[in-house]
Amino acid sequence: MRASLSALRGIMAAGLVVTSLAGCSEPTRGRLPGPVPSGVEFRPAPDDAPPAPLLTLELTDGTTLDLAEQWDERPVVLVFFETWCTRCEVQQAPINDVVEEYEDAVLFVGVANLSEPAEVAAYVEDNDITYPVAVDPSGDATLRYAVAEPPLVALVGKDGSLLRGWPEGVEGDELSTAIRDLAVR
Amino acid sequence: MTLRGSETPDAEFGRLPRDRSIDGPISGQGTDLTGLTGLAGHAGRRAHVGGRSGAAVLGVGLCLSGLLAACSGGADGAEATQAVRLVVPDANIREPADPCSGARAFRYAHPEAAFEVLADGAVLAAGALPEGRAEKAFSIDLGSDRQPTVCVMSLDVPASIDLSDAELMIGEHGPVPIDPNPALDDVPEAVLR
Repeated sequence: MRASLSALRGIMAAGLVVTSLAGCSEPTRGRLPGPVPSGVEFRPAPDDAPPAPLLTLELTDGTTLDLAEQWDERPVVLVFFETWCTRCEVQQAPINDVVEEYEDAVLFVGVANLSEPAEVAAYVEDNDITYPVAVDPSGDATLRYAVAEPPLVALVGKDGSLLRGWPEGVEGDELSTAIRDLAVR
Repeated sequence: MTLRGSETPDAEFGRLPRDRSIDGPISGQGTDLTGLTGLAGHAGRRAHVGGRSGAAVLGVGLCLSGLLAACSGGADGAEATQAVRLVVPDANIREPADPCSGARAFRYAHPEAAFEVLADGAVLAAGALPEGRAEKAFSIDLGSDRQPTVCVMSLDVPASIDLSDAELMIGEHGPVPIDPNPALDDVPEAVLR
C-alpha cells in the first residue's frame, strides 16, 4: 500500500512538472533578435538599390524601435498588415516559418496603420506572431513605404538598402528565397 | 520611394478619382465612374463616428431597433434586407474577384469600418463594411490578370427603408448619394469620391 501511494505521488509530481514546462513553452511575443549568429554573412546591396525610408516605430509594448539602428546590425523585413485583411492572415503562418528559419539573422517587424490596438493584440495571438509589432495611427510608415492596400512586405538589407517589396504580400517560400538571394549568405 | 521588382507600387493611380484623368470608358461592372466630381462629398462632413467605440454605439442602437422590430411583430425574427452596392474607385492593381479593401486615398473604406445610411439627417441604417471584391475598372482587355480595379462591397440594409434620396457616410467621410445603377438593374449604388 505504501509503495503504491509513493508511486502515485511520483506520478502527480511528474504531472506538475510537465504542466509547468508546458506553461514555460508559451511563445514570446515582440521578441527582438539576439546577437547575429557567428558564421552568418550578409550580402552587399546592389549599387542601384535605393535607401529604405527611415522609420521610428512605437511597438505595442510601448517601446520605440529605430529601424536604422536595426539594419546597422542585420537585414529587416517589414510586414505591413491590418487585422481585417484576410490575405495578410493567410500569408502569416508561412511568414512565421521564415521568421523561425532566420531567427537571429533577420529582424521581422509588423506594422499596422488603421487597426485598433486591442484588435492588433488579438491578431498577434491568433496568428502566433513572435516578432515585434507596431501600430502607426499617423500613417507615416504606410506613406513612406507606399502601402496602397495591405498586405505589403518590404526587405531591407543590412546597411539600409531597400532590396525588394511585395505590394500584395508574399508567400513564405518566395520570401525565404529572396532573403537568401539578396540579403543573407 | 521606389520598390524594386516587377510589382512597383503604382502611386499615380491614387489620383484618378480626384483629377478625373481617365480617358475612355471605365466600368466596375456597369458603374459609371466618369461623372466623379472631386472631393465635394467632404462639404457635408458630419460628426465623427469613430472606430470601434462608434461601431459599438451603432451596434447597440441596431440591437435596440432589432428588439423593437421583434416586438412589433417580426414573423421569424430575421429582417429582410436589400443590398447597397458600394464602389470604391481606387483603381488599385489587383486580380478581378480578389478580396479587397479601399486603397490609397480610400483606405478608410475597409472591412469593419462603420457606415450609416442617411436621409434628411435621419439615420436609416448603420453597420460595418464587409470585405470587398475587386472588379475591373476598365471595360477593355488589358492583356493581364492583374489590372486596375475598383473594390466593390455589398452592404446589407433593411429592405423596409426607402433609399431614394438616401446618402452614405463611412465614418466621417461623405455623404455620397445612393442612386440606382441602370446598368445593373437599378441596384442601389454609392460610388465614393
